[in-house]
Amino acid sequence: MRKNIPPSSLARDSRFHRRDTEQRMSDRRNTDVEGHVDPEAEDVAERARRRMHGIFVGEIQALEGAGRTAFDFGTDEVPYELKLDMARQCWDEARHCEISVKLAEHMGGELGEYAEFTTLFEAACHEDPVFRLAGVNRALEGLAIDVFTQMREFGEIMGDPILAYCEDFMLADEVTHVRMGSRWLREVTKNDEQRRKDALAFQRVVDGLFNFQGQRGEEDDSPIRLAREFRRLAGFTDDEVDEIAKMSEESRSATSERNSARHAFDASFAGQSSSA
Amino acid sequence: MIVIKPSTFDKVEFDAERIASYADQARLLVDKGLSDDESIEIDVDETLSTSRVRIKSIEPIRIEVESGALEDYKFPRTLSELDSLVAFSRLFLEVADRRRSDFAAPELDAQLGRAERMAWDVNLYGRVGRLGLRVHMPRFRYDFRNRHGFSDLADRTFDTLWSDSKLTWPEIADLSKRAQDSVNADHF
Ligand SMILES: [Fe+2]
Ligand SMILES: [Fe+2]
Repeated sequence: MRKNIPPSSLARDSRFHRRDTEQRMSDRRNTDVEGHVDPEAEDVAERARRRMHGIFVGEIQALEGAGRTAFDFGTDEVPYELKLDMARQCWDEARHCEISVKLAEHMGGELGEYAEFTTLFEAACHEDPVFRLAGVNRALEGLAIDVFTQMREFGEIMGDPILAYCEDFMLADEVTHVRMGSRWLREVTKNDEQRRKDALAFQRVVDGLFNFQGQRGEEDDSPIRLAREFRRLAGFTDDEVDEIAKMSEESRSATSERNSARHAFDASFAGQSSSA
Repeated sequence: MIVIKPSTFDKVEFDAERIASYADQARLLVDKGLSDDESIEIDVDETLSTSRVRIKSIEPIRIEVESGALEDYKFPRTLSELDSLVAFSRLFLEVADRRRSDFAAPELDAQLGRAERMAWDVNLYGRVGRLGLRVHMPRFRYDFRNRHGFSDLADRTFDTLWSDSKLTWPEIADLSKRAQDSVNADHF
């Protein structure tokens, strides 16, 4: 079997339409509004449904990425226990795929309704397994911790026990996946300071990409709220969480001008519009 | 006469002429309440990827849509025929409702509650489906539940709103209110 496959060779049926990260980032519209699952927004259900589809395809790619990492490297390159952890993660992600399909249906979505962005699997294609753990397990599954925490809250606020419980179950698993990333990053690089530094730099690049133009923060109204407590459980230091918050703050000030225009626009819509 | 603003697009791969032709098809589909020589202006906000739509004026018809309302989500930034037809039909049905005195619509600038606005939308999209356009009913059921509770009463209310083409605004608002009253939430 071939090792190190590219994102373009992931197996999908005709319902799925794949887009890479470059195509995703070339959208010059303001796409941060659609990512803000704000119960006050009249189109919040549509925003939540879109996010759920993003979570669903992310789960498929997390399964594929962990499977690849278990397979792509021999025990001369990574500890056997790391491979076992990746296998355990596959089991979790397969379950998350099934939960996400059902949740997407519960939320009135259809599989393949939105394009599939392959960002997660792209990060899982790095030739160095430590970079994969930093980019996928720590950066992107760290993001999953933030997002799932918020979706769980959204379900609670809207009185939707199915969404709230499902997100809670998946969140518990994601904490362990991030922990695996934290553990193996530390252990595999314990005698190679430079490799650890470089992997953490890669993690920052991925985190920066997904700060959603500064939307991540710790304020109550942050579109994506940093789940500091769960991140701590998953092996993040307070300094690391501070750094993500700081990066986000910097990109937020760069986009604040545009956002104030957006808020004015949103206000002009209140009570009059509906989601198409 | 249908005017699309802007006439060319920079951030999305939309074509104003095609949008105008979809709007015209939707006008023909809705038929009642709109005239053949209707003057229609459609403002497309291509800076936002969300899909909100609204009516700014009834006489003449002026509507505003965010780019996501006309977009094929499978192929981001491209125009979707079906989604355009659905969005315009829903807007024109609302125009037709607002023009009928027996419908007793609220004023155009009235601040509707999120739940009652959603109830009217459910009724409009149900009717769009009966015009022969594909609308995915579970999507609207979920949207409705988020504003009326995840309950059997909310589901029964949804079924009525979705399937009855003859409801007036006071009846829609009353159905919405009764479903809201059965759950005690402040986000509706
Ligand atoms: Fe997962
Ligand atoms: Fe995971």
